[in-house]
Amino acid sequence: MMKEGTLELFSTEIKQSYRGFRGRVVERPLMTLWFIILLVGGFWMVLMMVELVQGIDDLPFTLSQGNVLFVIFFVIMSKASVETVENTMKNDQLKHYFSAPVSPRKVQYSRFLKVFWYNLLLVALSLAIVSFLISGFGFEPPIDQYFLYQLYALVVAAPIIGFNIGVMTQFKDLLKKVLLLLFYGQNITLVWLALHSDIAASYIFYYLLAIIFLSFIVLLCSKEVFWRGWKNGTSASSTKDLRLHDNSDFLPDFLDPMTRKVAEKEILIRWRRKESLSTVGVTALIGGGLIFFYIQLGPDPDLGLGLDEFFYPVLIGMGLFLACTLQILFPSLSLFGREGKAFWLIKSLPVRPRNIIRGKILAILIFGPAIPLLVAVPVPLLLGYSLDRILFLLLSSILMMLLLGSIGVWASVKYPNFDESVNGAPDVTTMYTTMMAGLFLSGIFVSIPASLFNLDVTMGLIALVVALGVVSVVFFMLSELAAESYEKMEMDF
Amino acid sequence: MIEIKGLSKCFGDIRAVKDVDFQVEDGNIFCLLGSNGAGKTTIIKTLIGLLEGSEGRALIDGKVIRNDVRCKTLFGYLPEQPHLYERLTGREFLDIMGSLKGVDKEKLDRLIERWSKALELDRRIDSEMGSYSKGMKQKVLFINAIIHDPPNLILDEPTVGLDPRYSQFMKKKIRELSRDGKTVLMSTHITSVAEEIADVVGIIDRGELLTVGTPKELVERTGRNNLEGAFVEVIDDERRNA
Repeated sequence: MMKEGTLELFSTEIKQSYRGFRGRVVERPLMTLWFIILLVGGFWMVLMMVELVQGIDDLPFTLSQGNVLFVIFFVIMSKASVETVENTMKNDQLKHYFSAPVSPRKVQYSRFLKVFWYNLLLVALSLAIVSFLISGFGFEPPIDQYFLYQLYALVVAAPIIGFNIGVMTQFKDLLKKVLLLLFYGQNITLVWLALHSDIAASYIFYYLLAIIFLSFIVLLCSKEVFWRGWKNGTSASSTKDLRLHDNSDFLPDFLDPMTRKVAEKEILIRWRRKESLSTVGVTALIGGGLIFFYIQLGPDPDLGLGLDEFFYPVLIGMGLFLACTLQILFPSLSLFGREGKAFWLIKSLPVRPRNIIRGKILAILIFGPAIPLLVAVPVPLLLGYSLDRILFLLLSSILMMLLLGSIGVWASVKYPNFDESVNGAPDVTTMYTTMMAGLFLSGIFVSIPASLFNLDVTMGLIALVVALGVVSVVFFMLSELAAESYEKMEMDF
Repeated sequence: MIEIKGLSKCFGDIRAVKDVDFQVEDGNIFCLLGSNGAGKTTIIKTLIGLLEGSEGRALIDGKVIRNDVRCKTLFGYLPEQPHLYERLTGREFLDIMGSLKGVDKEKLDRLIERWSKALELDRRIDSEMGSYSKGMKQKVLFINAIIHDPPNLILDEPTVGLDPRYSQFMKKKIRELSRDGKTVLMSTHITSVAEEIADVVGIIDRGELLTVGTPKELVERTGRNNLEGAFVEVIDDERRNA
């Protein structure tokens, strides 16, 4: 069924991606090497944590194979879904394919194959690294052959389900969309049930195959939904009077007028693209996840190893880092790349680079208060933390936002990606490297004051305020460096 | 005045513009005439600071635009392709761009009203620009280029992809702006456009400026009947000798 047209389109995409990847490796060999070291290091850390968890006799929660597999499935599925929405359903460049004498069905299959291929590649790479680490360092993760069978089945199921969900999210009629997603979303429930059922492990694999088959049928039959969804996803609103406010002035006057105007432009665009809402929504999900942990484990989880009192602070810290990464770091990485071919507009404006950088980052940071409010505060309130501990967490979240924002701004000018087909999103090397740099630096800037806080509350808070001051200086300096690099940028595309 | 002095631009091993020299006197319309890929857009992008020249200088009113923010009010630019912010409405876009170019708020509102009516955009000015046709986007960008009343206009293929009615309007407007004292540098590969409105034409091919003169001079120099014939003759002659 997926004959010539599909494979030709697919190979064109892969060729383009490969050339882009090769270009980046040649251009930035050290960054690539650093990326590989960080990637291997990341997996090493995960395996170490697995070893550590195995050493805890009486875990307050069950870490079954089913749980681990479901998390892997869910991550790949979500990734596939987001990629489908951003790179396919909202990709205006696909008009070149649709205007060619190729059936929309073949375009759909080629896009699916792309999502499928990348996720398969990711899993293959991960398994290769894990195998290398297991043989090299003698790790003994508690998995059996059925874990691997089920993993392979889930690696196939996740992109198919993720792709179908991504397509369905672009359905125009809200009621039909919700019903469709509710109905089809039951596949996720089926996967969860299969992985947590009492039946023999060998049969779970067959259940998963059945789910793959059903989802594949949906993929084959959803040409019309795909075609309409793409049209809906790429069409702008022709509704009149979209103005949020008269002539788009809605930020306070005390801001520098140039910075304010740049920020207003960014905020309007992000608002219309529903990006601000969705990132705040993800932050709310992270906050909800922390509350779920609290409900499941209670206020005093017994982990053994004398680590109990650190459990929630560390968990909240991880939640804060994740929220700052998704809401601050990743959007700021594409500050300039997302301008695409319209980059000439800001580049030819009589506005200082500093004001452009500040306006753009302001548009991201303005939604930042959602992070402390949704992630840093709710669980400490439930746990009955004292005011000083809550203040510590609030200041830590501000510190992380500024730190990740400054890394993002700097990298967005240093390594911009003007590829409109991915909406200016940076390549995986940049994303992962900056994320790990953010993790490392956040760890240093927060853990030292946290250790002091454990000894003496006042000293800890003072240390954190000092760290916040240092990070503010880093933010200022990296913004200035970014402004300098922005001046040198050329629009040679 | 616009001056290009010994300008060259290389992209890796490719020399896209080779030692180009010309100047556009105040109030004149200078048209860079060349085939696709001749180097017209590269010269324009270097002039307005989107690219950095490898050698030589490009000046507007005696200033190098690249990296000098204050000088960016000295020109208005209309690109060949109407790439703009599709999720903003026409009014929001012009309001933000006008403000960033330092136009007074009240004046800006008046100008947006006036120009959107004059260009028949007023009924769609509060819709997202992603829903506009190419011609409508081009109109918005034209307003954007002149909204701050710059002394110089840089227009890259201003009539490409436009319907005959709007194309005619555009040519008329360019002439009017020139009469009002604005200096215009435009590029085109359509000889009839150059012949119709340019005071001076520069024929460019493979990054080299081959000849400069009024349309009449070029026709006389080559002994052809019109600018199209002169253009073909100049290019063919150069390629034969190369």
